[in-house]
Amino acid sequence: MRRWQAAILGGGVVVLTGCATSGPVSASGRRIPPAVWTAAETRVAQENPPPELRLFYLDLYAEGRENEALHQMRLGLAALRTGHKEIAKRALDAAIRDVESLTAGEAAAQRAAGKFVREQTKWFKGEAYERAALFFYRGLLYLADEDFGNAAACFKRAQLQDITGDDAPGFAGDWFSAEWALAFAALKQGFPQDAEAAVNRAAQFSTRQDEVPWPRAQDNVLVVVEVGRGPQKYRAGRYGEQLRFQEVRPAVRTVEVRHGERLLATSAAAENLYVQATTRGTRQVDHILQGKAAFKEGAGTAAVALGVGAVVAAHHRGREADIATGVLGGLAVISAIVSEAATPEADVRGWDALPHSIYLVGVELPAGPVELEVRGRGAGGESAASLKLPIIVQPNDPIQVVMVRL
Amino acid sequence: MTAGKGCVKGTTMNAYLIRWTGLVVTMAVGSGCASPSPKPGVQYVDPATAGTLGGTGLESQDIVAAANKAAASIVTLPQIAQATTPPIVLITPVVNRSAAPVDTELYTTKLRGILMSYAPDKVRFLARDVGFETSKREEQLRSQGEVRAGRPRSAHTYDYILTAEVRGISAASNAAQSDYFLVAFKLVDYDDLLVWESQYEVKKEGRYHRIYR
Repeated sequence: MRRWQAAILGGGVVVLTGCATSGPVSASGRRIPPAVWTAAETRVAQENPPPELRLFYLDLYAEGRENEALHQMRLGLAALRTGHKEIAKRALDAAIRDVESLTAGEAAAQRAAGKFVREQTKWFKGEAYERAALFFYRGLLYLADEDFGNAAACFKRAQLQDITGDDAPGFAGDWFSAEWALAFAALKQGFPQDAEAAVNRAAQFSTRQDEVPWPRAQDNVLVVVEVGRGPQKYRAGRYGEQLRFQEVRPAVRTVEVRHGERLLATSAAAENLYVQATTRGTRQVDHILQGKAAFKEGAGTAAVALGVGAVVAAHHRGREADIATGVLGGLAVISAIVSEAATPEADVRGWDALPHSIYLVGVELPAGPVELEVRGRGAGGESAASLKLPIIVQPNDPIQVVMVRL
Repeated sequence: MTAGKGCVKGTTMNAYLIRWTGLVVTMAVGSGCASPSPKPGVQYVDPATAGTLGGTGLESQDIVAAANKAAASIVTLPQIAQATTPPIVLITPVVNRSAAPVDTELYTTKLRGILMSYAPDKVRFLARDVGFETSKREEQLRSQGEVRAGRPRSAHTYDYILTAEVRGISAASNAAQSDYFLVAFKLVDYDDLLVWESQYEVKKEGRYHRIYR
């Protein structure tokens, strides 16, 4: 084997194996250096967060800037569900800062648009449904704090984040749950006309699931019921260049809130996140990834053609044939290397803790200790899940937000 | 073609191939593997200057600018500037009716601070948010003899209410997004008469990198 041939072969081996990973790997597929991991562990130990949130902090501190918003989202939702409201607020606000910033991570975004850099190396800002969910959950926290103005602002912002491609114009800003919660915040703020406008907008949404009772100004408890597992991202297409979502459909289709024998409310889902994820239409990044895939395929085809040419040339005698064999073989290897190095794979990092469906039930309860029952029913009306929910309703408290996971 | 020339040509060709191969491999390896994270660092930034994060929401410089404009205008009002006794103003929390979360307490605090610095001897402020409940509780303890009796409490009332409301129009599409904010300040006297109103507006437009759209 000649030197240059060995160099090309060696180069190919480097390309094919150079990124091999061992040890902890980030959500974007990067190897986390042991020193970084150790530093993250030390920081978590020093800060001593609630035990149920420690792993979220560890990922946040270990995985670097490109996954910060992702881990803030995950931490924020976990904290909200476990009753750590202040942590949830800080985490979701941090994620919002990244998502709202049009320039944060611009250099990484520019690199990720290139043919040899994976899309998932860009700073995570989430898909439209994840960004909308971010503002929706932050709005719930403002509601709980009785900051109805900022709650309403967040629910409006959730709709603004729900953008679509030109091929799906009817699905932009169609979060029913955001309009529902906006109506609630507006009623609590003393703006019934804003609430009515929200109801009227929501009535036009084609993504509306079924009958969802609207909130009333006198409702003092908001039961937020999260059901099932949210849309799971996966790659499709020959080179994994297409982003797709898998639905894990939960058994629960309606939710009842009961107080003893009394049925307080029955509601369909206010939001189906799988529907939101899959009505986005074509994204501009889809065109970028298609371009990368076409480049990869073209380079691969060229490698095969050049390889065939090299083989044909090798069957001829003479110096020119030797040179042609070498050149064609070399170009074939280079094309193969280039094809291999092209990275059209879609970014499948995701806020995977989101639920499949969100139910919103507003109820009016007397002050004092109350045990509610939240019951989920299947498509045939059968009981699919049930949870007892002891709460204490404070006198003159305009609203208490209760998170339930069925 | 002589053997010698052919050999030279072949060597040159090989050298080119090796160079190009090296370049391609370097690019592929360099771009495909981890790149170092940005170095952490902190720098002081004037809060009145535009931030570098580039969002279309309300930012600190907008708060500073709006509060400055309002304060400069208020202190020139005859009701304030020519009052024989400095009037007492109650600043109410900002009402946010826009589509962007706003730190309403920051607005209130900033506005009060700027007014204080503009005209410390021309206007006084009620700070019910600070000590009202504590003082009421203390008064109760005094009357019950739980603590020593002091001078009787005589809480002030206000001459004017200063309100602020944020409204906005926001839009977003697959291509770009924009936010227009109108911050309206009002000074209302105890008899509900609107004494003064000032508005501050800002509009921002921007777009994500296409890889996020």
